[in-house]
Amino acid sequence: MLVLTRKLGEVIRIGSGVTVRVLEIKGNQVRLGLDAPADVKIFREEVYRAILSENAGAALGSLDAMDAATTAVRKHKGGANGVEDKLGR
Amino acid sequence: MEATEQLRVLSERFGEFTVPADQVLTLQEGLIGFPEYHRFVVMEHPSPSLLRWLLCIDEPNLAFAVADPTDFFPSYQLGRHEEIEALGIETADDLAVLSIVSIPGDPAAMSANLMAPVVVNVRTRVGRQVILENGLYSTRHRLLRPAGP
Repeated sequence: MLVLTRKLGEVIRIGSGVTVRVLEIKGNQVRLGLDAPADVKIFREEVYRAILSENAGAALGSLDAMDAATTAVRKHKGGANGVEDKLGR
Repeated sequence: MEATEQLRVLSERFGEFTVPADQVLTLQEGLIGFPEYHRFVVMEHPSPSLLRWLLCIDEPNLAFAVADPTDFFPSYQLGRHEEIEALGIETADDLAVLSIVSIPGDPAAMSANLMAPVVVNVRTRVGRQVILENGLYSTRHRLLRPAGP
């Protein structure tokens, strides 16, 4: 891992399009200003990890899981009759 | 009427499906954690309900249960989001939102990920999974109210 020391207001550049500026240092918190092209997504690590883990856990293991879930939803909410479906099928 | 090209999708896990080519959704960046898969289709389960399948055409053993979040959470709102605008969504009619649903051992405890919806431009059939960092939503909102005493 590359380790750099920066002062308040100083910038790190990553590649040609990404910059990270130290905006504020207060106690154990650092505020950073990030600039990146639109196709470079920026996430807080813990948020990204949470979504990744939720997606992985949500992948269906079998038809049975969907059957059971569909039954539970129908019991609580009824069937899908009359539901507008823009995505088809 | 012109016949639409049909894709045959064979899934060891879920069975065999025929998907009209014009129903395919493209998620250019894939789902978070599954960046390698881009083509999906939304399908009804044989016994229809508010849950539908989001089946991956590139890896047919990968599928998710999805729901329109507003069917369960009427006040759900995406808010403004750069990535949604980048999809070229101009009116509400262009927009479809799918929340990925996690089904635990007890399906009554199923939950929707309202924080990271899959947002689709219905006109172009291109979508992406976005992360809403508005502090309103988490990755797990229970879909069904626990049964009363």
